Amino acid sequence: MNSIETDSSTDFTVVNDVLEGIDLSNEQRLRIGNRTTELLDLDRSIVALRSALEISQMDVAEAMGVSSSSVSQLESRPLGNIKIGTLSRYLTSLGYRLKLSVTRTTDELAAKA
Amino acid sequence: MLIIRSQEFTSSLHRLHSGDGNLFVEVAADIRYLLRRRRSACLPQVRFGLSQSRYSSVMGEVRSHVHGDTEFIRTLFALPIDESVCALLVMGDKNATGENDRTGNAWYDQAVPLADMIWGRILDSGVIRAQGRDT
Repeated sequence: MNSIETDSSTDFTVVNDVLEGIDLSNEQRLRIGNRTTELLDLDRSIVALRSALEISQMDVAEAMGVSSSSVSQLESRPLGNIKIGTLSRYLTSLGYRLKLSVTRTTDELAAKA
Repeated sequence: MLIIRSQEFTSSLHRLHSGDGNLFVEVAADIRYLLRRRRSACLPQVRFGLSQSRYSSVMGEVRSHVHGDTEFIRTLFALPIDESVCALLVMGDKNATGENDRTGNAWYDQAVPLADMIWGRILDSGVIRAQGRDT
């Protein structure tokens, strides 16, 4: 264990890592790393928004006029793979509105110069 | 950010590690996610503001579950607004308190006061101040 401080008079320890002192196999390390990355990616997704609003898949399905399994499939897709119209209806069901912005690339280059 | 593990939490983590491998991986990843995102972590993995706690503004829970499993692991932690420290305080299966407790409230009735007590001791100990990270 690589603790930087231990206070035996109390019941806690300062650690460098939450899994300090746990004997992990290479497979466990890999799986934990992959799952953490997955969670970090997911929390930028539409699922995170729905979860934060505490709205169920069933509520979204009802508002969109589709089945819960369709909502589940929709949420498992990367944002870039969802049709704009579908994403718009999904966000509307959460009380949000999709706004798209289009900028001419030459304008962006001019702004950077 | 200072990471503090209570003895209570550490014992539970070791028990989990020696048991269900899938659940351990999920719990470990969920907590790593909390430590990366800090106060920006969100549901369904992390919930802030445990109303039952004396320290409700800093107290939260990590919610871990593996699909099809009967265990619903909750990790109670304290993470103040300034994100100077994250203290992992109490971990347990909220469904382990019996069939009559379908909501898992009985687990919180025991776990939250324990988490409050440990967090109080951490604050009193001066360990956060000693690290130059006073909240």
